Amino acid sequence: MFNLHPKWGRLPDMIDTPDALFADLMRQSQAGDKVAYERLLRAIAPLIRSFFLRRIVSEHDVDDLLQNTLVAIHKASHTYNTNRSFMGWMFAIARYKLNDSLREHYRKTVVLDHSIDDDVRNTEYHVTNLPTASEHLTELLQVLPETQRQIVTLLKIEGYTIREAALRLNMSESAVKVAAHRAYKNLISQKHTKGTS
Amino acid sequence: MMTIDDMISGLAKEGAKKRFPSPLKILLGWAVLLLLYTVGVLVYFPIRPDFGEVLKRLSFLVQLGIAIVMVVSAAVSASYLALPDSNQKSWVRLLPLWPFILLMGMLIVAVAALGSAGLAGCLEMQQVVCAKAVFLFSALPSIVMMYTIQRAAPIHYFWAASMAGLAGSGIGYVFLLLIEPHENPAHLLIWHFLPVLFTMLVAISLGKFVLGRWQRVD
Repeated sequence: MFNLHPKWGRLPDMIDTPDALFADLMRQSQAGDKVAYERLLRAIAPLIRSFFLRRIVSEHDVDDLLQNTLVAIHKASHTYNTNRSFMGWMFAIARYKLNDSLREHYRKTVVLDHSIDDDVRNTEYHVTNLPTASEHLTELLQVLPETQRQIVTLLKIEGYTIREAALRLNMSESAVKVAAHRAYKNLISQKHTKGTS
Repeated sequence: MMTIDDMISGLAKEGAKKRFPSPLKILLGWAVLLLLYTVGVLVYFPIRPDFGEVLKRLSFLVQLGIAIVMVVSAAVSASYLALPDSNQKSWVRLLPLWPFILLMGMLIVAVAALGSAGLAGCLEMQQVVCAKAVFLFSALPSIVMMYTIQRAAPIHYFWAASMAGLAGSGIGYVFLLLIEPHENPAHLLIWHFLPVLFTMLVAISLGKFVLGRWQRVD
């Protein structure tokens, strides 16, 4: 004996389009039906997954994104208006999560604009005559004024914090920061000068 | 790491949330609150003494009408932008821009007719009290609108926040038209309209932080 659905007059599975079926399941979910909600989430997960797979190569990233999107759909479940397209609502959230994740990805990624092979080819040093790291560092630091040299040594070699270095040198923290910044700039310009000469 | 299956089971146990009111219901609630707020404000700040006279002037009526249309359309936009699928009604975000541009254009044209002397005079007067009044009158409706939107699930933070800010600050502008007996367009542009713009910018700057809270993991 078929138990007919009150609104459609037939079983939800027999509703013509997936959109109408999902809308119906969400309507029941919003009314407190947890079974319908689980069915809905399990039905939409593969759709969202294939949506991401068409746009992202890494399957691991797709899984992460799918989880984030399902959580977002869950948190926004109260905003679905059953008079509108469910797919439109669902993919609006999925697209938003995708864009958000891509923004995050591009913000964190350092784009290498040249190959490491170029550096290897341009190296003029003979491998057996390379100075040790400490010799190289000492040589580099010699070009700095006394205070800047002390600050770089404390911060970068001895591991002092800005505050500790400021106390040690009897300077303000901001003065240490400014001097350190100038020292780094000096070191970079020295490196470039050596590189071009 | 949790599998998708486990996660779905967990989410299903929590169940879906009850349906959020439709944008029109949000708008209706906001309008009722606004009505009470208007009554409250007009009890403490009486209507300008020349209100009967200015009501006969077409320029005042047009200005008031455009400002009210701006507030209503911004509130409609903000209510729809509270939903993640506001893209299904993409026209809605552009709705209040027309009255906004119209009001600003009207004031700029009137200021241009005054010449630079009128503008300089208004800048010298430094009537910051009007700007403060716009901010104060705007605060409550803007906060209420932002809070309501934040309880839904907006994804277009910029637009949603700007529309909520414009709806709130537009009310400040309308209140000042009703209370303050100022007619100089340069004064209105600098000390009434620019604060509206500024309030909107403040709302935009808070947008992502306030409106993005719904999707942060607890």
